[in-house]
Amino acid sequence: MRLLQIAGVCLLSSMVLLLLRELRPSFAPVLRLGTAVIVLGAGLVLLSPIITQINALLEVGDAGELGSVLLRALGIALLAELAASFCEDMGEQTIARCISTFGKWEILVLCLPLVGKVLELAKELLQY
Amino acid sequence: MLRFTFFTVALLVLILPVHAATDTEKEAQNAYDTFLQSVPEEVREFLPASFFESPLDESEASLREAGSVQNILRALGRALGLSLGDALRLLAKITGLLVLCAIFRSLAPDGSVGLSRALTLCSTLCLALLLFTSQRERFLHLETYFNTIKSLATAFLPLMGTLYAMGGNVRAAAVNHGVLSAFLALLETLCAGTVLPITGLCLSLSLLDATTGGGISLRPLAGFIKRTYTLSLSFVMLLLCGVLGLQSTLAKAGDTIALRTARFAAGSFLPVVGGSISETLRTVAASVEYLRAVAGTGAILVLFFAFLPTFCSVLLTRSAFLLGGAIAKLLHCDNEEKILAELGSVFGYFLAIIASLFVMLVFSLTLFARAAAAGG
Repeated sequence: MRLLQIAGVCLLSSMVLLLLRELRPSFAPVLRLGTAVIVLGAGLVLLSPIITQINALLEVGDAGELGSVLLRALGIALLAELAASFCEDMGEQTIARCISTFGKWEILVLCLPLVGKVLELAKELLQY
Repeated sequence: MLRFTFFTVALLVLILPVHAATDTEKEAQNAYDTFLQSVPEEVREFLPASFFESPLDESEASLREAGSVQNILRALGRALGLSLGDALRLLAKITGLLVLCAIFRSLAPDGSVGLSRALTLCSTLCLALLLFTSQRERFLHLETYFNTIKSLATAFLPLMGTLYAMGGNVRAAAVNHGVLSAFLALLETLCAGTVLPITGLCLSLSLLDATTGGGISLRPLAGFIKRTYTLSLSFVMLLLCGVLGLQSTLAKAGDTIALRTARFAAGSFLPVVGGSISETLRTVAASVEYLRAVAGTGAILVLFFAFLPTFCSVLLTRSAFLLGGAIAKLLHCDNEEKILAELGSVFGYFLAIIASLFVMLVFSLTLFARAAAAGG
């Protein structure tokens, strides 16, 4: 029952955050970030068997390389989304948007070799 | 002296056709053996061993065995079994990938539209690369099928010519040879030279269409190319079939008149032996008709067993893609569904081409097998 632990951590930090907002507002973002990192870390630990399973399946389908690209893209998206929402919570919309855009670009850069491969395949198909 | 000369001439007239018929029969047997030697190993597996061992004039029983319902059903089962394994493996791979894409999307954050679009592009690229790369081998398999059909038709041409000529259908032999040579040229230039390039073009268009996420819609263009090409090829095949049927009928009628006139002349102007010559010609004609039927049916069977595995494989692969498309729709993977539908349509185009080539060859062989000898 990891959910109980995570729910406990989340509830506790929410209560502490309520108090901090009144007493020491400058400490609130730090606690919020700490809680988010703990929850995300626990989520990754929870997901690791699923990721291993997905990797194994992709290896069977001769798609190990593609699988790693997919998982890296997923990781980038999750991280960018988390950072952007954190910035949004602090009222920094512009920085949040910048992070999202950067994440999108990083995924596109990750996809570039795949685009190259697709074009190569199309060229090969045209040579038949 | 006059009596002796007349007797010698009559004897020669009686013996020479029989001797010539025996020689031509040997020639026909050699041509048939050459044809059988050109049958590829994968087709041989579907035919009984006696089919390749019996001489042409005694192969009726082995033909009956090869063309029996049991053997055809067994071959169909085997071809389906062989292709079904591959198709199921392909379907499993497609389903696995689609499930992974669906899981991937559910894990992806749904806050930013740009991020989720980038992720969709990434997953579509991966699926497209996997599917298109695995289909390259199938195109090579189809190229092998075209080459097999071409080599079988080329090997059967001399046998057709010999047996047509044996029955006195000299004009029919010329017409058949001409039309089939045109067909072979068509097969070489059109099929080997254009089927795969057109497929490559359509696939690359659909690949680019799928990976751009419908931003640039290239699918209609690919569909137009496929439809136009299939229609043109079907029209050319129809034209060839029409010309072959028309010319064969006319040529056979001409040959029949020529040989019947000769038989009538022999029967009327050569006293005593004239009737025998006429009867001998009729017997030769019957035996030639028998040989033609046997050789023609044998060739149709060989072609059928070459066609069956390829047809089953393409049909089942197409079904796997279409079924994969339906699963993609179920899992809300719209881009992936587009790729799978396009691959299914490319395999439908393959089916049309394979079937039209087979029908053209069977039509020509049926005309040959059912043709009456000119002297008959």
